[in-house]
Amino acid sequence: MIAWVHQSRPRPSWYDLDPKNRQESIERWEACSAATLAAGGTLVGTFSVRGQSDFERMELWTFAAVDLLEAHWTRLREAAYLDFFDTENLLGMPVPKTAVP
Amino acid sequence: MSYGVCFVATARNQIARDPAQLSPFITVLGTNGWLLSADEMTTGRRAPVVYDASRYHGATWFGVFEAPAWSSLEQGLAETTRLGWDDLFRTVWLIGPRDLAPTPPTLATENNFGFLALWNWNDAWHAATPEDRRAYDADCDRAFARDTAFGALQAGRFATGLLSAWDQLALWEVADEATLTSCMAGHEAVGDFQFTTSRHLLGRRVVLSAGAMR
Repeated sequence: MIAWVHQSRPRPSWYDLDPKNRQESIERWEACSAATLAAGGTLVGTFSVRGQSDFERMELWTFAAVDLLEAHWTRLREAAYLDFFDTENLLGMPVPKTAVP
Repeated sequence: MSYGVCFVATARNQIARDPAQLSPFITVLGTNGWLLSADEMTTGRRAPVVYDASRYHGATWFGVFEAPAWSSLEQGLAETTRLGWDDLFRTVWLIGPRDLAPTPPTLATENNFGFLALWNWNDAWHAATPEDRRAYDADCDRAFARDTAFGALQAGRFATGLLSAWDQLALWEVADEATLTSCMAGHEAVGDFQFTTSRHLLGRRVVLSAGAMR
């Protein structure tokens, strides 16, 4: 299993969108997440990190395999998510049983 | 699908500045099927390479390797951890699927330097029209062709945005600092950096020999 921390903040283009376009965009991206959940991804939660980071939101996901994550990212890209949100992602790899930090 | 694995490592102590310290790690990564240099990615010739960045940057070493599949990537990183990599280095790892094949140079030069480019597509790129982006790509391609004619070996591009703070990374090898400066002038001239936020690292090429397991 891998973990994926997804941090995001709006780009200037997001603030220029009118409320109708914003709502349509949000629904489009929610459909991407719904497809990922249906494919077997797990969204642990969505959190606000505005007060303690460079970003606004943080999502924590887990996936059984990396191809589920890659498919999720492809859906978001094709839905123009990255044109409206700047992102920074972090991969969590399994810790070997013998590893001592 | 293969994955690029880039590391920017800062030595924790004097011992970790000795390239021989890297050899046991190279050995296990090779055993896991990883390609360990731009040379190995392009020619298949066995020649593990890292770059000594210490004269230009706070970091000591950087390198880009390529794991043939996710399973070998996980295995290689786990074994690297088990062998004590983290005792020697403080490291930023960047991982991403390959999204551009290597481009061999059209001029044969002795390439003694490695150049690592990390970049994000900036707000202006994300706001640009498809036509703007196509024109931009064509302009950048002219600069890339010029680099190749200067002898730069471009080991391709990896899409690291999915797994890191950087959208893309690319590794080149060039003859010397002057050649790199000429290449960068070409990219500046075509407006390459108008659409990116970039970080560039330079290092001297160091060929490693596989060593005994620790």
